[in-house]
Amino acid sequence: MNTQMATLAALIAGVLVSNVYGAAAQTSQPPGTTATRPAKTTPAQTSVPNASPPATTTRTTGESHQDATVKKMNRDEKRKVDTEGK
Amino acid sequence: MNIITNPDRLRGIERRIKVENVSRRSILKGLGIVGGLVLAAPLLSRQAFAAYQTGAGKMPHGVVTDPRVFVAIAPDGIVTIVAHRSEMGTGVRTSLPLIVAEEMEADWSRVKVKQAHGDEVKFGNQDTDGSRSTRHYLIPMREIGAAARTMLAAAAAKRWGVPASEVKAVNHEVVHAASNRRLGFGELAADAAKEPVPNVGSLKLKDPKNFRYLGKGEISIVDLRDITTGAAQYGGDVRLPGMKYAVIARPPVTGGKLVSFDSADAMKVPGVEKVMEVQGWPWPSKFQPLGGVAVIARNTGAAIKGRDALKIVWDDGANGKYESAAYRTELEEAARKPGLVVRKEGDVDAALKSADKVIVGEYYLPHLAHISMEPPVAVANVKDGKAEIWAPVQSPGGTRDDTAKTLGIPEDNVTVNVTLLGGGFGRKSKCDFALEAALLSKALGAPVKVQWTREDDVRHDFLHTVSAERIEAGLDKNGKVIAWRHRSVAPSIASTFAANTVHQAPFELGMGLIDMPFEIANIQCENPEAAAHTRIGWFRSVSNIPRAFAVQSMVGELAHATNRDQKDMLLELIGSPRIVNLSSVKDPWNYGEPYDSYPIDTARLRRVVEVVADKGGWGRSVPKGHGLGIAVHRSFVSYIATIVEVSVDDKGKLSVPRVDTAIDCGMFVNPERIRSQIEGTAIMGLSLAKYGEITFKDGKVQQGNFDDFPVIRIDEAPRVTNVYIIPVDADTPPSGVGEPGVPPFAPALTNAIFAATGKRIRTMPIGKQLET
Repeated sequence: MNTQMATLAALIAGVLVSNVYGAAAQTSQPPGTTATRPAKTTPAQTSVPNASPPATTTRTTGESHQDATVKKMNRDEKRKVDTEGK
Repeated sequence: MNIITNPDRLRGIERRIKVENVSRRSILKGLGIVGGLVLAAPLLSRQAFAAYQTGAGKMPHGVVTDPRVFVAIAPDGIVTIVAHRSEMGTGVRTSLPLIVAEEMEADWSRVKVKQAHGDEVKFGNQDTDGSRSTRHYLIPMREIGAAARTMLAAAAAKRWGVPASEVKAVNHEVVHAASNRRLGFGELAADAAKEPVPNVGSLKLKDPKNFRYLGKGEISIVDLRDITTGAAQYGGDVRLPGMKYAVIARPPVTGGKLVSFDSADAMKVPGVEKVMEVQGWPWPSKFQPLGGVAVIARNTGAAIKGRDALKIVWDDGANGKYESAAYRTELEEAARKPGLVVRKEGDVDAALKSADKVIVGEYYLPHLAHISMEPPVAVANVKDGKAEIWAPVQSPGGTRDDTAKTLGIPEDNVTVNVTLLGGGFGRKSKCDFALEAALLSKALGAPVKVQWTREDDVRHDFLHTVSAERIEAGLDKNGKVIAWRHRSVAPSIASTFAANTVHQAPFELGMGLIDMPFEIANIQCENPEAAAHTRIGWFRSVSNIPRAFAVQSMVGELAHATNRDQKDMLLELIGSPRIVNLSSVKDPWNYGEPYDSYPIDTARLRRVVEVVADKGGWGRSVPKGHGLGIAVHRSFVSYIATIVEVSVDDKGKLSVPRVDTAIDCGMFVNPERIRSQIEGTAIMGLSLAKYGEITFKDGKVQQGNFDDFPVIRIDEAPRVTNVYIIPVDADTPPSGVGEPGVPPFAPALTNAIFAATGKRIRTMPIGKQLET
């Protein structure tokens, strides 16, 4: 009987604890950054001023100068894509 | 659950863990058919039995149908069948082996499936994309099964001293009815291994009316239990002894470069071991890594924290001013001017001038991110000039090839082990994440896992393109459509392989633009210029998404303009049952398939509309605030029609009580999988339509996670999704299932919204457009 009462008490306590956490989740602010949640912003990671012209539909911005291996990879994949679609 | 992939280290608890991947040593080691030597049969460009041909033979490395490559039988009768395509939820890891088992008369309950490593010389083409695994492999897998059955029967006949014609394989045994003798597959395996592989022309395939498994929908996917109990092994579950964990800070703008970095604070994070630069390649460079700064740590959490602590300076480069609102304006202006003509029939200009009324629709669809549940992740171990990769890749052969080239080692020295994919949608057909792991492992001399966070996944995706579609439809005084001009402007996937790309490639034009099937006398399709400023890639159903949205929305607009029922308008536009003639198109692309086998058949298009209208109760009365919309689309050589019922309340809140879809995918293998794929496209279609939008500012993606690139939650999912699979005979070529459900969903939804509210949605996503 004592064991059963202890088990029941533990269960009730568990439910109460769960409810407390549940109420907190509905009302609390989003948790801060943790080891597994990346920072929303990284102010220390910046870009140098960019003087590029606007990115338009008619101005291409890809680089044509590639090493020979990647040039061939690009060519081969384009040929494959043109015939098989993927 | 982790897997230990070095079987030599199995001990203790690890013994319980299945080693899923097949080693490069013989897959048949210790098993029945053939010892040691595995041969690849000559490539097939022609299938022996089908009344049709497919594009399978034209894929790189074609098709292999040697049963010794795909089938092994153990002395205890367990049949092992190799799955050479990647599993990302379509069920292909089950369906293709199931075809073999059916044809060889194996008992499915005694079949195990093994995932092949990347080796296209051995297994044939392994690209899992284009919704073509079943359509390319139905007949080859049947041939493999029939060959294995023939070898087993021949072995039994020899043992009994009877003609082979008197024996028959039945449910995992070979039987000689006349003498009532029977032998199990396990007992025959060793002898069967000595039989010659029969000539394909001599094989007898089963009569489909005798199928036990194919077409029945009673077989669950082989991984079902593991997936639902958390035992399934994905890329992120791979763990090797001594493995390092890495996350990478990548240039935030496509084409950007690293200027400098300071790792002092990152190195202070507990668990961080090293910070180093990762090689990147100038864009465009196929699927080569973007480069950046890698944080190497003892666990992923430490690596993420370390990365946040880095000080980095980037040069954003030529795309640093890419901004979505401005680019949209450019796209829409381009769509209002003439562009490259890619289809021309009749005289659209004259017909539009003479039309009694012209309806113009301008539609805009933004970039989309794949956000498969499992972000990209890969493990690599590069040592002594050899590389072994474990990754959820859709193209294991391509990954092997690119890894070899990137590391400068022979392809034979690269092993690619394919894990389960937690979703793909086309993202994982690009192996950049595997190459990153390989480069880091080579530099560190240790196994490395590169884990992409969700933010990495959203911000460095090969995004679905951004698109402006403009359709002008001219009507005569009777309301008949006499002219149709469709301009489609979008940066091309080809920009990922070729700088200076400003027009879409033939395959993109063939997805819903030049193959538009309506019976209209004057048709013109144009493709104005659009340069890319980010990486563009394949996204489930690709260019069919914007094209179907535009075309089927215009059908709804035409129905309204002429006071007609949407379905009736749609059937009138589809016109008479016929094969659509695309002789006016210079490079008609048909999903890589011959037109003889896969014509554009309007009879099948009409049929799915009629079936879904009948079964979906088109025209039924619906409550106030509800509306029905319908759309149809042919893609990946399948035909799909969808009806969506919406409910919009007085505050503009949208819900979807019901979706009905009819699919004609030709001969089908596993109807349970077809239903689940179509149900899944309803979820995905609704997510994209309601929320899907990736935007750019200063060249950078503005979104990062599900808080700003949401998907629908369970309370928003359609309450009821009905799927009707059109029955066909076994000679009807199979066609795509994985992707075709996506394109018609959005226009059916927005046609339904119009019916419910009178509001026409032309810009995606719907977002707040319905709010009052």
